[in-house]
Amino acid sequence: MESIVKLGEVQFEMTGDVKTTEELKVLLRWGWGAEITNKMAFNPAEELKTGDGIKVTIEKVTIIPDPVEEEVEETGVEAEQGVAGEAGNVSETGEAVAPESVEEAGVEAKQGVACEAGNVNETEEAVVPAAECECSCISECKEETGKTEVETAVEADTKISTETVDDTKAV
Amino acid sequence: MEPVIIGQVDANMTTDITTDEELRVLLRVVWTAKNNEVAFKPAEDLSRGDRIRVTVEKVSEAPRAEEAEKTE
Repeated sequence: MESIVKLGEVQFEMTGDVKTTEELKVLLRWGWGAEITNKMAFNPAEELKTGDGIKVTIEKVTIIPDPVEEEVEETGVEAEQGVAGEAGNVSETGEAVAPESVEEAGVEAKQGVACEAGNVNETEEAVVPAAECECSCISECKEETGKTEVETAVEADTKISTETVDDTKAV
Repeated sequence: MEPVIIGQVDANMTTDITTDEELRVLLRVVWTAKNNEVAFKPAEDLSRGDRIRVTVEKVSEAPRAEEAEKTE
């Protein structure tokens, strides 16, 4: 975005001809003739002849950064940071972020991340009675086995006691 | 006639200029001046590095020789 301020305007008549193939130089001079800008030259769009009326407008151009573009750039940086956080399963506050994919969730469940204190319910040996389980994994466990941990534990105890009786009989 | 833009150029200031200083505009092809210098005072202070835009327009055409003769 440009801010343009008009500095001045002058009008005069040409004292010579200029062809479109010629390079017309514009000089801004101060004092005895010192030029105050770097080179300004162009090929005129039309031929100029002696006596033609010419108007020269001098403006100051200031480039103002567009606030909308700045916001977009900032948002873009934040978005990139957010993506990085998801990749590492760490939110901006440093808290763990739940995995989005099923595969990740499965791996974490196997590692006992989803159920605290080793309450992994894939094998019977690993199951701890629900009474000792302080986490909220009961419903999840039931979804997988169709039984609560209490039911599973009772079954396991019954099985062990039956085996013990059988062993006694064998002896 | 409607003003016709003959050309527009941008440049950077190479020195500081204050509003009380007089600047002069000159058009030149190689070393030949194509107008008499015309002076103006800038509306704002200018600093080295400021970007300047100069627009040159043709606002009127010189009367043709035939028309000039008729007028006479």
